[in-house]
Amino acid sequence: MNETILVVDDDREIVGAIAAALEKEGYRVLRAYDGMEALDRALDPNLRLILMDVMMPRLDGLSAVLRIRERRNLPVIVLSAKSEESDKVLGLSMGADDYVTKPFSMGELTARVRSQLRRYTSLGDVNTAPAGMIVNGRLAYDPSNRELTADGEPVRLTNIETGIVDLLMRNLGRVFPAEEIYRRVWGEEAWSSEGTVMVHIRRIREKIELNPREPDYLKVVWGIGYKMEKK
Amino acid sequence: MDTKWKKSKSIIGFLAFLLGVSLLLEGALFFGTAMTSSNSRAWVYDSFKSDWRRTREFKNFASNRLEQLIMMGAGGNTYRTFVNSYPDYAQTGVDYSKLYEAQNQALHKQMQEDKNVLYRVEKKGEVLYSNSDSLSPDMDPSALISEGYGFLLQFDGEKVRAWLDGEELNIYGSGYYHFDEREDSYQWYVPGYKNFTVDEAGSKVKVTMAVISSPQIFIKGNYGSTGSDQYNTLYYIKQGLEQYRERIIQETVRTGVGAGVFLVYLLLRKDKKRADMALARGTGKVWFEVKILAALLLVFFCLPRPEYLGDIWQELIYAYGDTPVAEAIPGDVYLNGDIMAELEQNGISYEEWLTENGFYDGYNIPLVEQTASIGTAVTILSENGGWLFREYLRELADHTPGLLAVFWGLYLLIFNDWRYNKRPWRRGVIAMLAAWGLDRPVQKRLSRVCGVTAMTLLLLGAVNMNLLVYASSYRGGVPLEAVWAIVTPAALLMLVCAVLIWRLHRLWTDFGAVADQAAAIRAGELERELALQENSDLSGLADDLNHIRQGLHQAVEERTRSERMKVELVTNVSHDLKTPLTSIISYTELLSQEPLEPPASEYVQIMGEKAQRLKAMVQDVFEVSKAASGQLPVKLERLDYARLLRQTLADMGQAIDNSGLTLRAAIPEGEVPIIADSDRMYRVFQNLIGNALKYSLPGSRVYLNLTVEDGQASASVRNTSAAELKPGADYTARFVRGDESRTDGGSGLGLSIAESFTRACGGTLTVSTEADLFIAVVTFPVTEP
Repeated sequence: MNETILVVDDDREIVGAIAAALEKEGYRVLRAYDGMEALDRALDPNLRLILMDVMMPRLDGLSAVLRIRERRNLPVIVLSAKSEESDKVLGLSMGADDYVTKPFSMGELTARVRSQLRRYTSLGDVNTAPAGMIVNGRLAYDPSNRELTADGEPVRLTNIETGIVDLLMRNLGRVFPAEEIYRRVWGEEAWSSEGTVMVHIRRIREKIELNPREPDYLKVVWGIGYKMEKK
Repeated sequence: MDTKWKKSKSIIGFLAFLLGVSLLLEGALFFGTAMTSSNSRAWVYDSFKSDWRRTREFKNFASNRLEQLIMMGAGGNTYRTFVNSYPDYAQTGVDYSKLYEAQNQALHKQMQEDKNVLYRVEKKGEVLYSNSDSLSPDMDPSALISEGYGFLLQFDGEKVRAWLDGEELNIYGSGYYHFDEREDSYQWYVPGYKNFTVDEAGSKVKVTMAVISSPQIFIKGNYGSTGSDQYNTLYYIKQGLEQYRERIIQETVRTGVGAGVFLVYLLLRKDKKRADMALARGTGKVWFEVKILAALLLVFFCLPRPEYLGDIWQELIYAYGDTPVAEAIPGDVYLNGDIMAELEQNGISYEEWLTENGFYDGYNIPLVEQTASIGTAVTILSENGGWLFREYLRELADHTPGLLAVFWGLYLLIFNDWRYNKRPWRRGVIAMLAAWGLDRPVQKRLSRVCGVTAMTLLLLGAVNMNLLVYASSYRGGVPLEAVWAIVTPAALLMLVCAVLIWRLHRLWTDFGAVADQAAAIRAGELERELALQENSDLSGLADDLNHIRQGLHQAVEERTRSERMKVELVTNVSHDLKTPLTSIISYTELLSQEPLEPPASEYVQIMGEKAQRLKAMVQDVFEVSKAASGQLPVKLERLDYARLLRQTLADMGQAIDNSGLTLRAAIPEGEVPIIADSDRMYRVFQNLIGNALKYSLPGSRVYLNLTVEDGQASASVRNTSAAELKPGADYTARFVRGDESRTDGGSGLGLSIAESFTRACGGTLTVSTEADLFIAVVTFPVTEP
């Protein structure tokens, strides 16, 4: 692989830890400790992805992302101690492709890095997806052969799971109560469907989500039902 | 702009308006009445004639005098006494010609003193009456000019010739006499037209008449008979014409000035509007009823009362009386005593005569009394309204000051007042009685008491006014001093009462303001300052209230600030904690991937677990502090409480199975709709059930029930605690745990977070203990399905 990743954070230990984890995965890592340094490092032609902290001296992360984006269209994952919804929305609207809150687990972070890289380097532009494909962020679903791919990699699903994915991917953003999912996927009336449906939802999450405990796609709307978040 | 100049501009504008409108109004009335009737038009025309002897007035005078003189010469009934109209009486044998002659002699005796008119009347060559020797039928027309008599008139028994300053006048024009009002100059009313001839007696008379050019005043002391007599008709005709001309000029100038001043007003009308508004502010303080009363009194006293219209009215009713309303009894019709005697002589009964004739000497007097009905009145007005109105206008023109007083009174009290004061009737006696816009009983009571007092005052005022009017019109009978002695103290009393009412009015409006302020403070509006006038009775109370408000405001602000600072502190601390925590977690993770010998690998695992707990705690602390300060954003939506619980149970199914406890859930099948934040409520039940799983006695049962009662949906989680529960502990307080000694488990914030989140969503969380039974109940109001 040997793709180059820029890690920016004013805390040297954090940069060190992330670098160690990523190097273990086989990536080449550039380090920067503030926004201005990040601008310099971002000139590297081999650079494929940036991990950027928000609160930094000299130039903050979001401004640095804006400045880099003027020149290059690189995927950016923002790292921040701010965990609130509004902070995430701000970060994503400023041009970040993903948002990871501190403290994070290395497993999740490397999974997100992998996902972003795959989408932007291997797959290329997602808009070139074949006609009839339902594309939703990292996920793409082909209803004709009922095949789901995450970051371009096929996901292996059981029959029931495929049924649930088929229903939710065809109706992005719509919330389905457990009974309806059960009736349409299993094809029979449900008595206590909640537990059954939840078990399958959890299994699908483990296959498609980067962090199954904090899902980005397959979400529960508590008190109402389940939905596939529209990205 | 300079405010002083602005103010004076307002005053100038208003004064210009006042003066301009007054003058224009006066002019309009004068010219309106002067120009609308032909009679007064003729007057205007006459008054501007260069020679007063060419006016219609003069022609009328000369014609009348000539007729009188001819009659005197012919032995006619110059006084036109009524006996002449009854031929029957001529047969009684009385020689009336002697009576007439005596009358004519008397007339001559009077007329001859008036040297403004010289005359000579002769019959068959014999001079009967003359007051000048220099006159003769064949005299030179210009002979008397040098003596001041420029006008000469000769009647030769058939026709009339006249000279003005030696120049002969064209008397007859076309030769026919006709009443043509459109002719600017009236014809001479003298015999000699083809349709105005002379009788036998008149044809024997020759009259010569000379009129002075500048009339003088002649007074004769007839002390033997009637006392001093004046003969000045001609003098006053000339004088009147001159005065009228002067008046017209004067009025024209005044109207012109009025128009000019009005123009000034037009330029300053915006400034004048300010003056209007200032006046309206003044009049707005006066009781509505007083204003109306004052306006009525003004109209009543200052306008000419059309009493004469009543007479016209009566006449009209008779004239139009074709719908008899009631039979007249014979006595209603007044008959001349002579006629009664005549009837008696002829043996005709009075009633018989009445039914047959119903006429009296050509005057149409209906035999039934008429009363005006509305129909008649309408007819009368529609046919005569025009001249009645003109008549009244003329009356008004003679009462200009009164009219202007009424006009400006109405302008100030009614028009301007209603224009700028919204609902002026809201301030007055009736308003006080009705207590409009007052919500508090005290205010209403005060207002009504004042209303009753004010009503009494008005009545008292009316009585006083009557007394004064009565006393002044019967000055002889009632000593005016006595009336004043009654009226003055009464007026003083009224004044005092009015001032008291004024103060009371202030009291209840101020009371309202104070009460409103108290209510506002109670509702938490602490910004508004209560401003009463300094001399108000309640100003002390208002000050106190303002101090209380200020104190509260400061306290609240301080609390908000400290709360905000606390949240900021916690946020900063939690952010600061997260950074080193990130390193700890990351390196622990990296370390765990290294090949390590036990027990080192075991240590790393423990470090990892504790680091994760620390992470959870930091997040919890952050959230609980936000929730406690009311800054937690919630996204409220309609959701199904029962489904929420089922989903949570399904989600936690694995944890429940692993705990070794039994969870007994009793959740209704149907929908239980509530309004809440989906994610937050999941956290609440995750915490509650998680706590139950963590702290329950091993092998015991946890109960989760959802019940709906009285529109309230309550979900309860009950479990038997493994540790002994301290009675009375507040478990929702931060960092309170069932077992103080336990170091594993949660952050001690679980229940606190659950409570904060529930409250933020509009529900309530209550926690109670009974022996070792721990009960948490989350209640939400059920919304309409």
